[in-house]
Amino acid sequence: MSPSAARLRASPLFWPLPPVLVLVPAGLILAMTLAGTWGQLGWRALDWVYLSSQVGAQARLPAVVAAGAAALVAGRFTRRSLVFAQPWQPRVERDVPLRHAVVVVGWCLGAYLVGLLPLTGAVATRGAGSPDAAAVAGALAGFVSLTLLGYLCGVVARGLLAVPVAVGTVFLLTSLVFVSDSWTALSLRLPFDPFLGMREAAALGPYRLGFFLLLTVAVAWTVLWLLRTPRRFSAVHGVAVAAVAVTMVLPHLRPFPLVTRAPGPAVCDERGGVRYCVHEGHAEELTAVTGLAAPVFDAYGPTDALPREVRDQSLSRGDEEVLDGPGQDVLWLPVYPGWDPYQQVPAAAAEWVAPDVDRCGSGSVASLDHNAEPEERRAAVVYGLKAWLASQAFEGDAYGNDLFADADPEQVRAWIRQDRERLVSCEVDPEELPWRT
Amino acid sequence: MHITAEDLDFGYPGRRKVLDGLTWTVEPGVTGLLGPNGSGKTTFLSLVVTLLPVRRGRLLLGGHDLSTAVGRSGARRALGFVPQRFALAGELTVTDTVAYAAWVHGLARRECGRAAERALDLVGLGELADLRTRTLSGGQRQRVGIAAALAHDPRVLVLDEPTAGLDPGQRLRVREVVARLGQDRTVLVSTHLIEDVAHLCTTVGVLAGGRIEFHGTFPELEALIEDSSGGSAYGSGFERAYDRLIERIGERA
Repeated sequence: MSPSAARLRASPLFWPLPPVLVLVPAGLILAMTLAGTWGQLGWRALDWVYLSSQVGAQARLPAVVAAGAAALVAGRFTRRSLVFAQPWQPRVERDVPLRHAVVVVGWCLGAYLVGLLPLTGAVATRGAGSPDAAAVAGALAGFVSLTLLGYLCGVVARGLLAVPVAVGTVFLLTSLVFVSDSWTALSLRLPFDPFLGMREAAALGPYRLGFFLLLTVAVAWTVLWLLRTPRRFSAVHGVAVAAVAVTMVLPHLRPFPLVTRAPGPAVCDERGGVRYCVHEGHAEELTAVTGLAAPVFDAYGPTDALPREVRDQSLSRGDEEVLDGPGQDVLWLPVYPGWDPYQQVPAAAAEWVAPDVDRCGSGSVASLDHNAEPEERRAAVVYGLKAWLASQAFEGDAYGNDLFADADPEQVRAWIRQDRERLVSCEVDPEELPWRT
Repeated sequence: MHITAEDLDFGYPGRRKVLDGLTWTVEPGVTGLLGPNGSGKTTFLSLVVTLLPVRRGRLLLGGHDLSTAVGRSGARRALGFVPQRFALAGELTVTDTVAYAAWVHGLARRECGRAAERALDLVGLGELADLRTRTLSGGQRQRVGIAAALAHDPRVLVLDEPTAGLDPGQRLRVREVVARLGQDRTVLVSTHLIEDVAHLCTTVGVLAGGRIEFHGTFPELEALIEDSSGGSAYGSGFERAYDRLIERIGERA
């Protein structure tokens, strides 16, 4: 061994483990985290609420790797047959597992946090809102406790079998959130990505943090108990394990609400009689929203069909308000990290003004084929109109839209005014379009 | 540092007593522990190295009373133990293994490297320090085990069958190491090999029926064996006589 390798080996950063046992999983975790977040660095509308939830969401697979690494360390270095893991040796019961845990958790969690730095930097530079400390703390506590759970698997199995057991167990635990919402309070993440204007429910974050802290304590005590010789039952240990069991059951008996709305102040603009409002933190998106929706509304024509207001969903006070949008003449637009206004705004605006295709009675099937059912041919008119309207956000590029390819915007507006009632009830055949006759 | 047993009893649940009023003092130097199979040698060693709890009688390691948690804790730092069978982590080097063992025995991290060097020199493995342990021979592995037990410079060293399974050359090297270690500490060696006892031990105890039935120097044991065999002290006849003597002591007990 070279002197530098020996120095590395004896470094307090690794002691007493061989550096490779922590450098490989840490490198893997760093790569996974960077790969998971790199594509988000250029996203629009990044915010701290989203980033806070990503601390848990991105941790899912890194926690599995960390648990596997911890299981490998415990499985390799706590086997009773090893000359330096004899149960009577003074440090075996407490200092050894503590030191192993500090090194493995330190490197794996450190690598994970470093992997999150670019996204954090991007949010810090241009993100809105404020971090959700409880969500972040709960996710990090979860990462630590799941890593320790992997170590426990290693202490129980005392061999390489511990690695697949730990990886499988932690993967399963981190996947339960997708099975049922009631597991959310016991998981690293929400089953969806929250964004500006939402907050994790007040009780959820502290409950999750408490659960993972309790799990950490129970796992740590169980590890110490397993390594102790002779073993003695500890009432405190029993209470900790029972408390973990109880905290696992409670959310299933009474599920937590997952998020609450926290609408912020609005920034608004008005154009063509329509008011456009976004969350203050999305102020940079207002120009895109207005610039992409207004041409669609202009192209449609009749102002009585337009919404009174286009509002950012980050301003809503709840799902009911969003669902009731049409009744209030409000078009609610989801503005979230990674959204693409060039796709979503024209489509949403066209969807609002164009007739409901369900009226055609074609079961959403549209076809211009001459042998197709009349309902399907009429549905094709509605779909074609929607596509044409959306294309008006980009100066009328109707490429690929056979029905409206030759249409002049004035001609379309005049046709809509003239045939509006029949259009709304989906009674217009393709042959009736003025520019096709 | 002495190992002192006073009226020590031990039994496993549902079985007769393994140790029955055992009283014995092991003094500095190399002491051999002999006895027929099932006589309680392993149980006695397990009590000495605190793997089993002392429930009746007294067992002292120096001033440490092994029936108390404080005493066991103190004794563990003064103790080195090489079990009959042990494993090494093949991916670690010889130095890493011994340094790790030194740390596990309570040394500060910064001292472990030097302690490992010292221990490896003592067992004559200094030149193999950078080899991975998976590449070592049986005798070299045994000496790594001894170095690991020595790294924290214990006053008491307990060896369970230290030469079992080794070829004659390796056995000789291990005996030399153990004999050297016995010059300045208490070494208790459990063995069934009379040659080990002959070459290593200044004192011998024969455990039978849960008690020490013979305690004396090796020449005294040798005389007893010669009386029993009526022949020379060495050779296959001697081995058979030794076995018969141990059995007879066991039967008498």
